[in-house]
Amino acid sequence: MSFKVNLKVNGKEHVLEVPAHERLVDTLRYRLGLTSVKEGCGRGECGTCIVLVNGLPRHSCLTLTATLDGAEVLTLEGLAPEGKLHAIQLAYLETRGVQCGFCTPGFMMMTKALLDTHPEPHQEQVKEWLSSVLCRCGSYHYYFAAAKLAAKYIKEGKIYFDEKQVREKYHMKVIGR
Amino acid sequence: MKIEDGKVRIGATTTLYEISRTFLHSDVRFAGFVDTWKKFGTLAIRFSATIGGNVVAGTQYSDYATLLLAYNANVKAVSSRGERSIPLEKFILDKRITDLRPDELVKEVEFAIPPQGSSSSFVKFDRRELLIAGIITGAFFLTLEEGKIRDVKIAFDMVKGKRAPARSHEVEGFLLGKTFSEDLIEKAAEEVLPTYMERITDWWTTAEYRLDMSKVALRRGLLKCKTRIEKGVI
Amino acid sequence: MSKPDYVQIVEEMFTKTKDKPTKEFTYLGKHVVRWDAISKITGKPLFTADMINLFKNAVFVHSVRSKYAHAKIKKIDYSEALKYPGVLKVITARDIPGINDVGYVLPDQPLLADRKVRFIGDTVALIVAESLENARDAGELVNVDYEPLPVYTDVLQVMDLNGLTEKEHVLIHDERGSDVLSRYKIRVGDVEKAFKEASVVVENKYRTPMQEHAYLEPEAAIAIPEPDGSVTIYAKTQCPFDTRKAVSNVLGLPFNMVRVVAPALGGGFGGAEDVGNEIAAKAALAALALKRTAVVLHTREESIIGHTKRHPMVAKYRHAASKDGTLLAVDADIVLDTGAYASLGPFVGWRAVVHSTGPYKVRNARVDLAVVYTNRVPAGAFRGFGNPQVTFAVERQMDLLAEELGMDPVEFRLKNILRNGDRTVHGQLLDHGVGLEDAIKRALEISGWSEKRKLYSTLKGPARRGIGIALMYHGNSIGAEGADFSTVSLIIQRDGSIIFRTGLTDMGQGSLQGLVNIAAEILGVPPSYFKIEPPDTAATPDAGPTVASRSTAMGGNATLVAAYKIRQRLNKLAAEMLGCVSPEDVVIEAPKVYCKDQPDHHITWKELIEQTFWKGIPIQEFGYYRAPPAEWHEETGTGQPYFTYTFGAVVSDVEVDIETGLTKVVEATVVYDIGRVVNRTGAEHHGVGGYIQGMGYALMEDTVHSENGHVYSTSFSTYHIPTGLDIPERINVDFVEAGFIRGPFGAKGLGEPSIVAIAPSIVNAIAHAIGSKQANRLLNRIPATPDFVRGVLKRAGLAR
Repeated sequence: MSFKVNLKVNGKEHVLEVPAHERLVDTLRYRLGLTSVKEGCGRGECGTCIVLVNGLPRHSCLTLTATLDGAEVLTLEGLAPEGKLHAIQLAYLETRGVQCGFCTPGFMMMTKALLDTHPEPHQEQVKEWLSSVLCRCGSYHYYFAAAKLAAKYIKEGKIYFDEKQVREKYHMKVIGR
Repeated sequence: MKIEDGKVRIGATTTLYEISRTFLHSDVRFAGFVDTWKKFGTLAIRFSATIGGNVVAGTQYSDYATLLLAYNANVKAVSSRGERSIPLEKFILDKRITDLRPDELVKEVEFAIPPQGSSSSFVKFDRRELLIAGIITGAFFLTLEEGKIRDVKIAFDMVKGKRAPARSHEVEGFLLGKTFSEDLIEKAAEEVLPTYMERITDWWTTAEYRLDMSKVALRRGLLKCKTRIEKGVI
Repeated sequence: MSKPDYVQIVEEMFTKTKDKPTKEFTYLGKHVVRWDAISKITGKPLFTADMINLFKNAVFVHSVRSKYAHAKIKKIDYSEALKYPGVLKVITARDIPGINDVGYVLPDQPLLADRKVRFIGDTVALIVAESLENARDAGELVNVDYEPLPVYTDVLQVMDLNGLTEKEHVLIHDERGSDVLSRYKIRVGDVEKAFKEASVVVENKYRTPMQEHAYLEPEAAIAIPEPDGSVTIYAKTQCPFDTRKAVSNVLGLPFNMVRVVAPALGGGFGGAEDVGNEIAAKAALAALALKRTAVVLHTREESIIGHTKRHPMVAKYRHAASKDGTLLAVDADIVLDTGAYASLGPFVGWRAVVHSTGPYKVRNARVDLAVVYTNRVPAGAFRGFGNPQVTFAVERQMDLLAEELGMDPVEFRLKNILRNGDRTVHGQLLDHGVGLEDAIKRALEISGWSEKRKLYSTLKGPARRGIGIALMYHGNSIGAEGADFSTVSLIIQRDGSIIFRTGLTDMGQGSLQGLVNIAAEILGVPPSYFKIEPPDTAATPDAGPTVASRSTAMGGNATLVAAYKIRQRLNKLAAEMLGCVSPEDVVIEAPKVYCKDQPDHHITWKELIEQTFWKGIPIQEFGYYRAPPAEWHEETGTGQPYFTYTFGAVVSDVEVDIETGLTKVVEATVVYDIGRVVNRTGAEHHGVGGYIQGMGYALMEDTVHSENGHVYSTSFSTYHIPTGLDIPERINVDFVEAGFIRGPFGAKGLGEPSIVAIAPSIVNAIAHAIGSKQANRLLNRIPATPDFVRGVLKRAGLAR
């Protein structure tokens, strides 16, 4: 049995026809090509599938798309407008914690949810929210720092950055210490 | 979620996140809710997890069921035949078996607002901090009046004869009315609890360790309640 | 005998720069933003499964796994499965066109089980269907007639620890006639005499668990049948060339008809070494059979039961020391459980025996090591590769010896560690490049060892603190496992941009950035001029496998050689163009190129490159580096097993709850001698990430099997890896640079060394926290879970 679902994803309206058992992670990855959303476990344990549904974090691997008629979904691809990077993305870049990158979208989405709810989070909140995602390469410390840096940028009103300029400034460049 | 006739009523589809935004996370009489929240899955799951879901699951890992037992909660179930109220204790029959009939839905849980001088705690720990089942879990509720135990409710993830969350009435009976002291709690843990607690050895750990930790949980859980009552903060 | 030119070049670069401090280099040892960082933070489709969308009309392959951990197969009936909607084909052993084997080191592992199954993850059939869902459901309908056999889930059921003799049992590999896969030994000096003369003897048994890689990306492979009958495969593999070999073998095709491309890997840690071969072969079989793109995609559960693990170890160690703290002898019996198939077992066993006595001067040693089959999930490569296991035992022994002798554990170690000019237990002379003592000194300084060691001993509450140290060394690259060479292609384009190709993969470790840093440093151009191409057997040279902490050491040398040769040619041309006194005077600081003493008279990099086209000077180079062949005498365990060693010291500061046995690491310090820091960001990542993964090994991880060989821990909630709330407040990372003459600018590897000494440092710290001689001896096992530590406290009479 199919369900008609009106789903707004990253600001764009979609009208989808999905079977009852289709998971949001599959809708996003395979119907809509939003591959930043990962499936690391399929059981809501690793956090790599986390997206924002109506502003709150959800494990897309545990969500049935058919239940989301009228909902708004945000993935990493929609964090910033075309040609721009979000402060969160810049912060994750500058704190140089990215290793294999598989868990990174999940961390960034939790960071977005955290900063939307607590714009000036203290360390305990950063750790609690971001620990929803597992990282085997061991970048936790770096990602906690990234969230704090992103909070600082947003507080200073620096929310979007020009992607081209960021590439110029950072791609394979020497930074930091 | 609402307060009505001296009772707290929580709708079945209330998420743990929604609960965290209410007085249940700031009033010391409900402190155990904060403990349970902190150890439930990871934070992200708490936006989707519901009270009703935890109650009908009826497993040892249904942490909020264990906590609500310590509040002597009732479950309200609805069907085309009407509405009925069952004590949570009687609702959870055994591992994954509840009293919910095939045509019923859980509507809400409710429990009486505790008096002043009360608090609660929830003890859960494992090999790591998060995403854990818990070696054991224990929920503790205490009301003190001039140092005496006016009310005490204790629930564990399992007890003797039931592999699902249940109350430890015998331990409660031993403690009720007595003056709170560390020696009293020690006695309850070492001498009374083991008679009514049965633990299991499985691939994760041993019955011996689980029993020892149940004692440790009883001690730490009740002491935490007392400190919270005295300090008035979570 | 004259040295090959590539060795001369590497040695020349080392000698010229060995006294130059790392901070004076432009790119070496700096934080350079890695080439794929921006792609990753923008969420680009970099991983294998992200590419599924690019292929229309794909078919999906599901592996039907065994119901038993050990059984004979009488019959496979898949007729019902074939009728299931969406199912296109069912493939079994009979349908394999080439050789039904994916054994990594020796041919003991069928791709599809034929005669028998040996562990729960053995694949008996492949269902190929229009959707993964259909394939999985149809898998339930495959009927296999099994004759169950006894299941062995502990290595001591198959082998006796005393004498390492094989026990009577129903052979798992009856075709081999024995379930002992490999045996290694060390026979040096006179061990019996040393034990007679010893003042102190410490004997203990040790156990380490079967650690799971738990990388976040589950395995995936996509195979595309090409019009010319060849097949192109995108797969999660660390070693595309080994994958190609395995697939060619299974398909019965020559190497050049199989193309393997490795996209970005979401973590590897050695776990994507042989499973990559298996999934690629499965996808390729389906693709060629159905002439459609075929996808293999694992769930987390399939990943856990379907790929190789860390070898569990059971060992008995005896150490002898003299009263003044000199280590006299080491005597050990070690058994490694390789699970149902060999995988990299023979190599893991060898590395384990080589490192079995630790980074110390040992004049007398008797070590026997056996690698043995059981019906558990096969064990293969995992960061450290046998060394974390033996180092756990050795470093615990060292602490116990120190206690017996009444010596401080650091003092005792310092008396025995290897230094420049010493010989290893194998008789190998280390005439330079041993930075262990400096690493220890830095670690002690940074961690506050002395004060804490004293202070913590005085604390007596329910929350105890402890500080512990462990040392390690780790041979770089593959040693005597095979021919050790690496290659890169450095191709400067006509406009001055550069293409960099190598067969080394990236699984997050970032060593490719280090290679680019080396090339950038030598050529004088910024790393941003480089583009790194993905490893591709059709387009990048075979650089050897991405394993054994060899990418920087070996790939780095190949890169150095290529860049050096190009630079020589560019220098000559530039000197002509600019009128420099000699080519040596040419300075390239792209975009500027000038003579050393005339910085204002310059040409641009682009102009220089353009001239090479007109002058016919080649500006592409194939870099090749081959390590000197290792020397290993089987009968004595002596020779030169590795060309160089990375050294390290790890200090862990822990808090132990005496009532529950729960241990938390409060702070950690790791200092590694890596010769020369080439990629500072990557090196720090390893220090931190390696600690966290080692902490999991020490405190919470084990792949637990039931008696029947089924795996209990098949999810992230049942297999515990450290979460963000488990990490210590701070992990201090520092490096010592005792350069090795045949490393690129003296550099050595860090991929594996960064996990080797973590577990013993933590358990040594727990012992310190507990402060009991009896407990110290009982702490002989990891993971040191709360119940285990509590059990130790109870047995030592310390629990209430």
